[in-house]
Amino acid sequence: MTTLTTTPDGTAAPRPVPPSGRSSAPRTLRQGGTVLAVPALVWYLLFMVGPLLAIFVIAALHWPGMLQPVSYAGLDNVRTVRDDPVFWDAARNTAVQLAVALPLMIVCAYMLGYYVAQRPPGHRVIRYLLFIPGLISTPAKAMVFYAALSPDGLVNGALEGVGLGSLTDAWLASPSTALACLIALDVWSGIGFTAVLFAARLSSVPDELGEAAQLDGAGHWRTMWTVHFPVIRDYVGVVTMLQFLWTLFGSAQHVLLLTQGGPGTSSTTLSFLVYQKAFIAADLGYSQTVGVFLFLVGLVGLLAIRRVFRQTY
Amino acid sequence: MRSSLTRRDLLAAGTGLAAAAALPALSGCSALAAADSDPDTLVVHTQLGTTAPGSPTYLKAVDRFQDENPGLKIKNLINGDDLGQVYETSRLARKEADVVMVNLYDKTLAWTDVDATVDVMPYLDDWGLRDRVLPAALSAWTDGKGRLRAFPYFATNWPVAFNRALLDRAGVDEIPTTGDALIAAARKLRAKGIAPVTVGGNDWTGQKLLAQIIQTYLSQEEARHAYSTGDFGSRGAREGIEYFTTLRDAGVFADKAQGLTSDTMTTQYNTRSAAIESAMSSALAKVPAEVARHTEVGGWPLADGAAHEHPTIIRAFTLIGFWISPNGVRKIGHVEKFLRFMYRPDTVSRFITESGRDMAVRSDTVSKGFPLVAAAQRLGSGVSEVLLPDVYVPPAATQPLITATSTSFTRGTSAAKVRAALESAYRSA
Repeated sequence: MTTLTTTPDGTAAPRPVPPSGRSSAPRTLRQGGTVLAVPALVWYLLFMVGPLLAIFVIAALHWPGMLQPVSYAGLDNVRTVRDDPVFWDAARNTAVQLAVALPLMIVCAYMLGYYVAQRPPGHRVIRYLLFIPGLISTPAKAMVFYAALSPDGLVNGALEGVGLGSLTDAWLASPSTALACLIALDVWSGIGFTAVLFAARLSSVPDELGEAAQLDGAGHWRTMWTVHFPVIRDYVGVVTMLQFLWTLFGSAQHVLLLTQGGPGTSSTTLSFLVYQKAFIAADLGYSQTVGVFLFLVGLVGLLAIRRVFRQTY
Repeated sequence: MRSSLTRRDLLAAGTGLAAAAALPALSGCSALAAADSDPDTLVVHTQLGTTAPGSPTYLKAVDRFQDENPGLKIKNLINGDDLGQVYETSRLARKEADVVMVNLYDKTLAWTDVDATVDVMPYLDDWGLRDRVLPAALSAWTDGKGRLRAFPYFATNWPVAFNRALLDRAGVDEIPTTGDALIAAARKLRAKGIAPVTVGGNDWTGQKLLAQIIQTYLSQEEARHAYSTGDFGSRGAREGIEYFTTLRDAGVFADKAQGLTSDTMTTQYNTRSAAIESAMSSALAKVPAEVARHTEVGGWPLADGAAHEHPTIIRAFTLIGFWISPNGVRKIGHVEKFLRFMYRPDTVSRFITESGRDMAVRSDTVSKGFPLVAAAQRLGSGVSEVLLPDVYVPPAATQPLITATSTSFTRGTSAAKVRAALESAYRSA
């Protein structure tokens, strides 16, 4: 049975054997390589590790405004955050958002990707269409949704058009539907892109597998989940992890553009809270404490997802 | 082998050097840095310049100023609500603009204290501009330590606009002046499918209207105390909150008011979907003619036992003012020319006639093209004034207060919960 692995090195690349009599050249080659990497390393330390450490440092400060004097606060910020109902609302909203958006997106995208990978007629066009949300900038996407969901927008117009006028609502202005609108935006913008990724990966799964399953009497649904899915299992894990991180950290943009966290705190998510507390309310210590929390959640989620989806053979 | 490696190394190093040299030129800061260090360019950080009311008039004024002062250039940096934050960031880098045009609100309240801007009182007197400013505006802009935070410029009358045509259509004969009349009017309006009072519950417009309604039972002193400290426990504050929740639960506010914004509010009023809005003069200036023709301005209806005699409006002098930054002090000669120009009667007149703005600077001009703005100016003593809370709310409480406002506008939130939400906004202050 052909065993498929995701790494392409079926055959190991031959290690460069230094020709005799020129033993000094490879050493120079390796040294030169390290030196050339130093600028990238410095950049990484400065712009990646630096801000990361800054999150932890600022979370321990009392910094009530960019120009205000800074003082040490220790764990005071943690206490403030823990006692603030807004934080817990945001945490709950983020949990709901991830619990709904992530499975929906991954499952639907996988099914779409599988369909496209079967190369139905017009599959190239479908791939482009699916990818379109990925080509639109976030503010543009948010404005499209804002216009569609506004009281005299597309959604209400469509409902009235099919005679369901009684269901019209100010979707973004209702505490009960504001978060749902955000989740819808997340799913819509992520599903096509993810589907294209899955389709690309599934295309490299040999056709024989699918054909063998169908010869044995399995329909597409069973084939999709019991044959192809295990094969690309850790790829699904990678994609889920990416979407998890994007949704967790990137929701701030959508919230800012659509509802600014309102009404009340019904659509405030943790990453938006970080932005709001830092730039709108100017309580930088609080903001970065939430940032630390978010970082830890992201880390735990990342490791958990990778573990759940690791290749089991 | 070795020689080609060296050539590649050289190429890489050369590209790196070229990139490093080109980077400052590529970065957008270069233009600003040039302007900063150019002694004949005045950098003005302003909210006017795109869609804010008064922008076209301001831009034309800047052009005229540059024509009159050859060699002196003005560079405008335009931001909206985020101007405070952008300015503070630039001040941190010591690259702030020379003159800032922004309201006294939220972050800007702290600016004079933290040396983000300078006390302009000495300049006001040196340049002989004290007589040009309305005394009420001067005292509004002066802080507790006697420092004048900025040169006052824009002001506002903030009445309630009533669309008489819509009210008549619903069978409401008179403009409501009491809470009960307002509730009755709201019922009739809803029967005709018209939203009664539209308000942006999700942003500052809701916060101001909520403050106005609460102040029905508060004197100006009590209101000042409540909004500076977050103590809404006084009898007047509690009665004011109950008045608000009564009106809200009787359906006086448009549906989903808690999620509407100032844009939705003005759209609803200007497209005749709503009959009443509480609007500041710049919003009144933008009401289209066919709606303005049927609009009357008045105050917010009173309730029994109110602390005021007449329906209330807000009158404020702390809208856009001219702040001077430490960088601006170094170009004080040019700043003086600019401010003298902006304070000139003809410049001030143009803001009144072309943009319909109310000014904190003395002027004899009356806005003919903006009937509603003129009507609001004429309200005089037929209305009572309540405070604009902006100047008293500590910066840290501003955003939480806006969130608390949205909660307050949600139907079903009890008066106790509204009070709790408002007070908790001050927790971090």
